[in-house]
Amino acid sequence: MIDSDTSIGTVRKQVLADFPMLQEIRKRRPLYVKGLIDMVRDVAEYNKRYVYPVALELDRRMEKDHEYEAWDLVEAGCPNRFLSLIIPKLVGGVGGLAVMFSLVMEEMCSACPGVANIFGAHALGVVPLLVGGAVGHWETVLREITESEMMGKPVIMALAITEPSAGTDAEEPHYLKEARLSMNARRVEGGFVLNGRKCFISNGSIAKYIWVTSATDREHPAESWTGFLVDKNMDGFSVARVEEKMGQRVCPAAELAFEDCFVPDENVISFEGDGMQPGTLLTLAASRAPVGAIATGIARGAYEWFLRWAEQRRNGRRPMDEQRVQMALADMRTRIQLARWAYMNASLAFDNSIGKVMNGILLKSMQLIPSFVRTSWPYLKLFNSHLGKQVVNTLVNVYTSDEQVTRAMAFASLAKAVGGDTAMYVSSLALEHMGSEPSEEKLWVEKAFRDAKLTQIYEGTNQLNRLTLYMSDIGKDLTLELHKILEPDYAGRGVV
Amino acid sequence: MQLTRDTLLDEECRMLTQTVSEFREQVLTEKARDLDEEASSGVVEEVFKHSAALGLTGALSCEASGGQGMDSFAFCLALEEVAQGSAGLAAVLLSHNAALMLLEKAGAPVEASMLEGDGRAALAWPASFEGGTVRADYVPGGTGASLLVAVDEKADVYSASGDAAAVEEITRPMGWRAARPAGITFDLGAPVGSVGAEGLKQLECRILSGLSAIALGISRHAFGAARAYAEERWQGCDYIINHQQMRLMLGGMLVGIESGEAALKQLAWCVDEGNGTTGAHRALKVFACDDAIQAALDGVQIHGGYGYMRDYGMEVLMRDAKACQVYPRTPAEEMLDLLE
Ligand SMILES: Cc1cc2nc3c(=O)[nH]c(=O)nc-3n(C[C@H](O)[C@H](O)[C@H](O)COP(=O)(O)OP(=O)(O)OC[C@H]3O[C@@H](n4cnc5c(N)ncnc54)[C@H](O)[C@@H]3O)c2cc1C
Repeated sequence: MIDSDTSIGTVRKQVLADFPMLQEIRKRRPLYVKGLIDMVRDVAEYNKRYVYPVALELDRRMEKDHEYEAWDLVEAGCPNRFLSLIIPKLVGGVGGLAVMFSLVMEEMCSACPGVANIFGAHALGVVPLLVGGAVGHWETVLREITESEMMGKPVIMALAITEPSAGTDAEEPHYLKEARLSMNARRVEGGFVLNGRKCFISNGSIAKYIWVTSATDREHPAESWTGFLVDKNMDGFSVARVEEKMGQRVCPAAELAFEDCFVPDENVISFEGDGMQPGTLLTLAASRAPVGAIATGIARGAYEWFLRWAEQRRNGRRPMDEQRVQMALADMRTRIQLARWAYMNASLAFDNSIGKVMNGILLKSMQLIPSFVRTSWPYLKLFNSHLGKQVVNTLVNVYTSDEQVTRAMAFASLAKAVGGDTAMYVSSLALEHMGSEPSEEKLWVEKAFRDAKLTQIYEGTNQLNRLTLYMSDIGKDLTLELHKILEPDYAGRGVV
Repeated sequence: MQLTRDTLLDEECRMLTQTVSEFREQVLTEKARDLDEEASSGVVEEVFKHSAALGLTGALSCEASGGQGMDSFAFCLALEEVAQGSAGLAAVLLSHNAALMLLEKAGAPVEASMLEGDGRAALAWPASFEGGTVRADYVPGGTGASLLVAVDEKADVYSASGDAAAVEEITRPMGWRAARPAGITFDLGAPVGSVGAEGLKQLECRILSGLSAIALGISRHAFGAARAYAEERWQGCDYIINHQQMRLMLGGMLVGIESGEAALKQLAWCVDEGNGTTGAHRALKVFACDDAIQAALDGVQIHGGYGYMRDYGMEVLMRDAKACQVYPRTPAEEMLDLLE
């Protein structure tokens, strides 16, 4: 809350009380857990200093002026390294994974999910470079992000999957086969030419780099789905419009236009044809647990403001003295705690599968190579080449399994759906009790109610997430197929 | 959408719904965004005047004094149609008509200009009476009203001109923005008359059934738009209307709408027969509002990302449904009193 105690002792107590699993992990890895707690404290202070004082006003302002860009808030986050949270230490990042990112998202969203989503969508754009093993781009793009952040000049990323006629379809391999796509990537000498539109892209209008998916063969979209790294300065790229939204307004959502936009071969992330399986699926497996945390944070914010409202005396009585309000609070607390454990569980599942590779063997082996070599032209060329990518993918396959990452994906969908439903439930229930009398607390809960709805829609609707959970965990007809990248007839057809 | 209820409407009601639905399609749909975002620009007054031409500003006042003398059911039908275009405007009309009805029942004169929509009344209800003043924290249509009306527990009716009242507009309310709700305080003069306990009960029944009608209007809007969208949107290897998750949501909306309509018809008929009971009206209001919220949430959900964008006119339903749910009291407050 705006006036809560953000001292490290209090934050530590709170985090450990909320997450008994972290108490256990702390026994074995005290420094790791300390790092997490320190980061949560940093966010709490950032909220207090920069977000709470402006969040309501900014939301109001951006209803009228939806193209306003809140760079001051992003810049204010630079000292805390919010843009580098999940970027490997090797290239100057914080080296956090899903657990850290989720904790940060919950804390930030308890104040304002619009602000948090700028950092969230940015991380979403970073993920494909990490899980796609685009090691060459780590030294260029990711290093640029971390270094610019240190200088207080944020460089932002975005991720563009959704197309005007394909939202759910662009996130699910079975559906993609019959999707009505607008984007197309045509092979030309030295790269691809992109044409078409992407819509609702968070950070789309403020990002410098965007991971964009497209079919390279319209007849076989699922098999030819490919991830491209697009620089906003590339010819043929433009921002077509910035959307006017019900909530989470501080983070702009934009429609992006590609008109004969040339993207060179080295900007194909991983291989041509693995943009969906595993590219998109792996990215969503990494990001859906943090979205569950975003939603949990919104629910928590609504709960905290409701609690404050309930404690105040009105017409001689405190709402909190009434059983109906006590039960509502208990119900909210229950659901928030369950959503919290769901996202933490999913984040741990991710960090212990793919994350293990990212922060473990892959980085350790790269650290052996001196920095001047890693930034040299032949090194970048090697790691952006077929061979380099194949090496990374081999490592991934050695240190984790399809089964492990599929489970992480299923848990992530579970956490996302539980979180979104919790945010909607809690904010709605709070308003239901607060009535029509205006109050400052109610303004915050109303904002949470508008913000919450998005968490049931983006990152795959809650319907799709339930289907993903069913398909991957119950029906067993969706597996995250990491090993396939290594099959010669599957990967790299266009890029070799 | 043809509801079971519609097949039972008499000629007069059918004509009424048709006229109001044309008003909605030709005027309100186009102005919907302004009514939500630019309520202070004069657009509310403009559409209010327009509704006067349809007789909606003197709906509950008797014909002898220049009103339409609509029965409770017809009025609900009209409100429901209006609410499908703008729930905020429907709340303004409810507040205005209830205020004028109260004055008329108390035997106080009602100016013709009010019935013709040249001035606007608002009902300060529920209100607290203390030390010679009346205070209502949330009055739909309160901002810009030229006449304010209140009634106390003893059924004494008071009025004051808008100029004489302290009006605090609620800035940027989440829902019912066209209603420009306000906190209102005015000094009590002598009562203009009394409506008696029966009149008080009638008033409450009319307001609650009017609110249920507004809630049903929101649900119908959500259903109509979502169904049309689902029929055209291709996703998951099919039109989404063919996916069971979507059909269940749409079916759920229909369950609420059909049962709400049936109950509303019956309760409105009871009021018109002089047998209205506030308990049943409270129950329906809680039900219809719960349903409107679910319908609005599902309506947005069926539209996917488009539902979250303001241009699609779906998100406003969520906000309006929430405003309707807590006025005049919260669902818990209504339900706790149901046993009394
Ligand atoms: C503010 C905002 C920010 C966003 N940010 C990003 C971003 O940064 N990057 C990005 O790529 N995308 C982004 N999105 C897009 C988001 O991921 C999509 O909106 C989402 O995936 C849903 O797609 P859609 O909107 O096309 O809905 P649709 O896929 O058209 O879905 C419509 C409805 O049909 C249902 N449905 C679809 N298929 C099935 C099925 N098989 N069975 C049952 N029901 C089904 C859905 O659940 C939904 O209720 C954002 C969206 C919003 C609103």
